[in-house]
Amino acid sequence: MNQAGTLSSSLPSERRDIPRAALLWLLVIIAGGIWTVLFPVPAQGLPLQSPSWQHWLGTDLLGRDFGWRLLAGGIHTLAVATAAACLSILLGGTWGMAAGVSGGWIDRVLNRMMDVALSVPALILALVILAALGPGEMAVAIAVGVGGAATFARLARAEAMQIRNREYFLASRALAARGIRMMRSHLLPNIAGPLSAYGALHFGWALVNAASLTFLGFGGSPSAAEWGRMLGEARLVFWQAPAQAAAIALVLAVTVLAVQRIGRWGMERDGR
Amino acid sequence: MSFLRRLLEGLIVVWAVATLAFFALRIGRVDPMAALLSQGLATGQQAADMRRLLGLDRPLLAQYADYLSGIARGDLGRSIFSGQDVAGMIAEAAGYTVPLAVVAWLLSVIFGIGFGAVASRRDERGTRGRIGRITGALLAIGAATPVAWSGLILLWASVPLLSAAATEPVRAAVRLLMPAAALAVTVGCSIGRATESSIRQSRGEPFRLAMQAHGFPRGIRFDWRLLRAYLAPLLALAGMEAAFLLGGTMITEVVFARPGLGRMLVDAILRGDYPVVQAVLALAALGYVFFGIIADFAAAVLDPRLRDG
Repeated sequence: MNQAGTLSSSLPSERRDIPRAALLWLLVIIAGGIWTVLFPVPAQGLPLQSPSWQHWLGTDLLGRDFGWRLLAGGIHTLAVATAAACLSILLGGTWGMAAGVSGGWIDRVLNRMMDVALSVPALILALVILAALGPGEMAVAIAVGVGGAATFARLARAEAMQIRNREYFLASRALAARGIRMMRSHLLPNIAGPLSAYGALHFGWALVNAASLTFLGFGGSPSAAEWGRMLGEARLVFWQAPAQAAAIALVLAVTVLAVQRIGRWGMERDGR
Repeated sequence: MSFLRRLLEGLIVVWAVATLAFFALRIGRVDPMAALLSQGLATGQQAADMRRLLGLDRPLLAQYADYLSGIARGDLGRSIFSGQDVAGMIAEAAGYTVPLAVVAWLLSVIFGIGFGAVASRRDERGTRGRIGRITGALLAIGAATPVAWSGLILLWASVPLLSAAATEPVRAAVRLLMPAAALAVTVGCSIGRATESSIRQSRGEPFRLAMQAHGFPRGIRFDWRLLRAYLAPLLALAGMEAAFLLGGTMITEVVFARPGLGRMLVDAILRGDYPVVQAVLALAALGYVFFGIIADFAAAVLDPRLRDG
């Protein structure tokens, strides 16, 4: 944090360690998810039981082990959000790099497309895509990923335009390097840092939106454990078992906070 | 003139969304007739008749031309499922959603800016007091809370309130305030966090230095002279949060079992009710563009640095 003052705010802030608690939380979720893959599904019991030795956190409305589903849902939710964030970075990065490097009318067209995409809320774009793809987890990941791509395009374009006029880039162009090769060897290494730092911050957004969409029933098959959908199910039995909805909301909120902290740490380390 | 240009750009955005929605739905995989058939609401023959009646068997571009000319005439088509006029359906649903969104937006702006200002407070040496730290932490937690969860909590809280409420107007107020508050938790906390960082960042700005030179204390104070400078970026954010309200109303209306635009959109997407989805999405884009222009305009009025020319 910058101290109160005047000029210090323009100096780079001191380097901080990665937030350990946030990282630990994500590791626990991933480890829990791996656990549920390696070990067999606990036997189904009676619906809505309270915690017992058989079912540590009780059972859900269909008698499935709630704790197990909470663990299985975590890695599932993270996977959907990761897929969405990666798609945003890949799509937006390519889009922005192509615009920033080529310049001229290609840049103008691609840049106009960014303007339009950015002036529509990402969620509306996601819903349009979802309307086309139909429900399903893959569709949710694609919708959220494409919906968030334009922000990365803007970022990548700005970075690419800076690099375009650097000496090494001009030199490599003078040596007749073209297209893909230029992007791979000169642009990508320079753009990857800022893009992934912002990507970590964006990941929290993707997580919330993917979970919201699955909560609303866009997630497809109801049997797979996923936090958004589980919250939707827990809502139905809220009056009988409020603790289940509370548990899901809690892990969801803590995960979003953890991801945000790591994202902000990444941005600060990147010096912005 | 920049205002006219902004308006034109806004219209292009709305057209782009309407077009995108039109083609996405028709090229997409959700077939409304399949939904009708699988629910046993129509026989194969009826579905084919319906398809012809709605013009879904005609070439895409011809349908698109019809759609655009329909919009120009104010005809948004009819729902595939209920046969109702879409414009009428939207008008009815908006009667539920607009009050909800307006109250939620007001609550989040008032509480967001208030709590953000509290969280940003520093003493003379620029250290943050306990109240500031706690408020800041609460804002972070609130912004990460799923709307579905705050909705469930407030739904739970509204039951005793509803039974205690004596008169119908009070009950109606509770029915509107509770879902609005649920929405305002997430939206308000993110506005609060933005307020905090906006105030914090302004510390290095020339106008703050000038104020200090004039003897204004160094610590953060919430002062009307500062409010003007902070409000401009916040207004832009508040305009953007209108977009979040769309997503938020979808969830809140489902949780509180309220009718409204958000729920209508969710149902329509899941069933593939093309005319309804198209119209609601275009309307959302229109609203977003409209509030964006207003926010820009208000920001320019408040902050002379943002005026062009």
